[in-house]
Amino acid sequence: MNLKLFPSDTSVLIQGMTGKEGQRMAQWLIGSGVRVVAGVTPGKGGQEVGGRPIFNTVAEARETISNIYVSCVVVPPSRVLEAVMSALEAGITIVNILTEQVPVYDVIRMREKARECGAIILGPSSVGYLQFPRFRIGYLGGEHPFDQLKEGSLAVLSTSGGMTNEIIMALARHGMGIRFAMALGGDRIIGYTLEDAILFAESEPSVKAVALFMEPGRAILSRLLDGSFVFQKPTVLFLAGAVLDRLPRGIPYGHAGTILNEDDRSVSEVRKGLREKGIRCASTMSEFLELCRNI
Amino acid sequence: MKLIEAEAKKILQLAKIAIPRSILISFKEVNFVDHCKSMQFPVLLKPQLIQGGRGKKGWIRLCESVDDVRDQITDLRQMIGDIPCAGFLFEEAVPHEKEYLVGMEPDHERGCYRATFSLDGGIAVSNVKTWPIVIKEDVTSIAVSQSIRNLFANLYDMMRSADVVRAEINPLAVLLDGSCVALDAKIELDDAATFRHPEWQMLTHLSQTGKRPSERETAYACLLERVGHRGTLGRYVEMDGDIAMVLSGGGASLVAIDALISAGGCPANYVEMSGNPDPDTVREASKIVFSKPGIKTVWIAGSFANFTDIQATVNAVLQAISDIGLRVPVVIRRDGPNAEAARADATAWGERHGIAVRFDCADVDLDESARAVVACI
Repeated sequence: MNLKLFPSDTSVLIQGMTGKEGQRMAQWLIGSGVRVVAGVTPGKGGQEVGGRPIFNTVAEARETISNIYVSCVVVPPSRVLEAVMSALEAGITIVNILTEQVPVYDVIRMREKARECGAIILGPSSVGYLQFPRFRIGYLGGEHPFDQLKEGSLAVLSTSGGMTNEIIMALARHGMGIRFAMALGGDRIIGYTLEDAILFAESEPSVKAVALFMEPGRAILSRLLDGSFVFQKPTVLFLAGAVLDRLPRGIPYGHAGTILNEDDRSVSEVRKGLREKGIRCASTMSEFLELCRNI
Repeated sequence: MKLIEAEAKKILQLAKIAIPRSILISFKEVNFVDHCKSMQFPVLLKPQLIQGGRGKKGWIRLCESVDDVRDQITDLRQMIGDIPCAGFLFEEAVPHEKEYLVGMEPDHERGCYRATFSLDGGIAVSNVKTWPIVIKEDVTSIAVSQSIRNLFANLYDMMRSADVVRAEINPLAVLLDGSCVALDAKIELDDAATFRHPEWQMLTHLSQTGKRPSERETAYACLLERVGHRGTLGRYVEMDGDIAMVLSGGGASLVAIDALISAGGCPANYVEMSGNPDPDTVREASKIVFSKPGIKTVWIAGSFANFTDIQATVNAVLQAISDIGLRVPVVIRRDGPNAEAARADATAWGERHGIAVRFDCADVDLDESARAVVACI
């Protein structure tokens, strides 16, 4: 399934809404005008959070309230697989998983199921998605992002949740606006990939340019270097992590997916190779903002 | 977690993949001669460590007799020195025809597994081919012999049932009768699946970097195991410098440390804690970071947080500084929920302890904050 921009009145479900993080997410989303319509926590059906009903199952929520196709999953790692499978079986087509430390095999099973159902999984370890004029899921942007950010025509896509926010806030301070921002998650294997997200941004006419953040070890880097993936719109890429060239290889740093194996190219070689391909590649935040300004 | 060869082979054996006859003895075992008696010579003597390239380094020895074993062990112990090593694997040599490389790992883009194969197994592997394995039946499309296809089917089952994230058999020996034996293997287990594998506690936990961990790295690893909190409390790696850092954000930690190095600073460590971590755990972890001798400055830095409570997190790090009694300048660059309250607390903490504290929010970027840290030295 291809992603499209969300209508601002899209109904959102939160799985795990009775938990501490779930309650806060509900409060923040509702506070920024998002239509959170219900929550799901098995065994807690009948309760309420933020004035929204809690159901025992996603299927029950969808039977009672019409037009729910987006769900945010905020449950502990060992329960993510079950929560996502039940959402997909009940007809949810876009699932955002905030939870970190979800086993790789569970993500592979979710992706198998999502392929079957024609659904999209954003995450795991995804802090969310945010789109102007006023729609978001997850925590991306903090409590009141729309007061701080600026609307524009840039799409920000990142494997790091914190850096997505760092970037959109910095862009706003420097007078640059965004159409949407998406935190894809930094795990070894994720649902919606950087490639998917870039194609989505490139297909959306209101997006004029794309700003990417990623760490070493991402599969798309070798595709960019060998020319099998080519940007169709003006794009700036911030590749962090030169420090990995000084640290032991074969183990992850920061995100589970940030690994340089023994025979991988060094970060400085990758940056050089990207620039030789004509790709605007930044090594620092200041360089990145400068490239965005001149795009 | 990466496994030593002996344990990787046990997992292969459970997955119905043949392995040579072998015995594991501990690194310091003196009476290894008795163990050898039941073996059929020649045997291979293989040190059990995480580092790759044992063959290239000449650390795998073929022994023809017990006397030979004695000499080789003495020599190897010297060469290995203080690199973490779980012991020696004595393995009967397997006469074979050919050596291949076979492996399986997740395919990041397709979201399935991927089979890898090379006709040139051994030390200098080249021409590695890959095939996506979406369903088990896909192994039938791999252009290899039937016995290797069966092995791929077993590997596929093993990846799923044992939560393996990377398996590589190199070399895979093909015998005269066409059957296969795994002569060496690397297996990495998915740390995130620890909750459903109580049996993993029995495995050998060697330093994953292949180096002897420092006192602090060991203490930090123990803390991680105790709190079982890996998603938000990341790795601690000691570095040579004098700027102690507590970084937040998987991506931002790399941006910050890159910025510090560009500004001419020398990091004392890499560490990352994020995702609204528990303040008590942050305090414990930070104490380990600050216990490194020779710290000249502390940098608390991270991205503009989406949902991490900045006040609780920064206060926990400052408490750790007080606990240790470290008296050096502190530079903080954090923003996000409760950042202004964090600034007020940090300023008051600095005045109370007579320690210079600089607190910046996101209007000062990580590059500028890194320069401020270097200026303190």
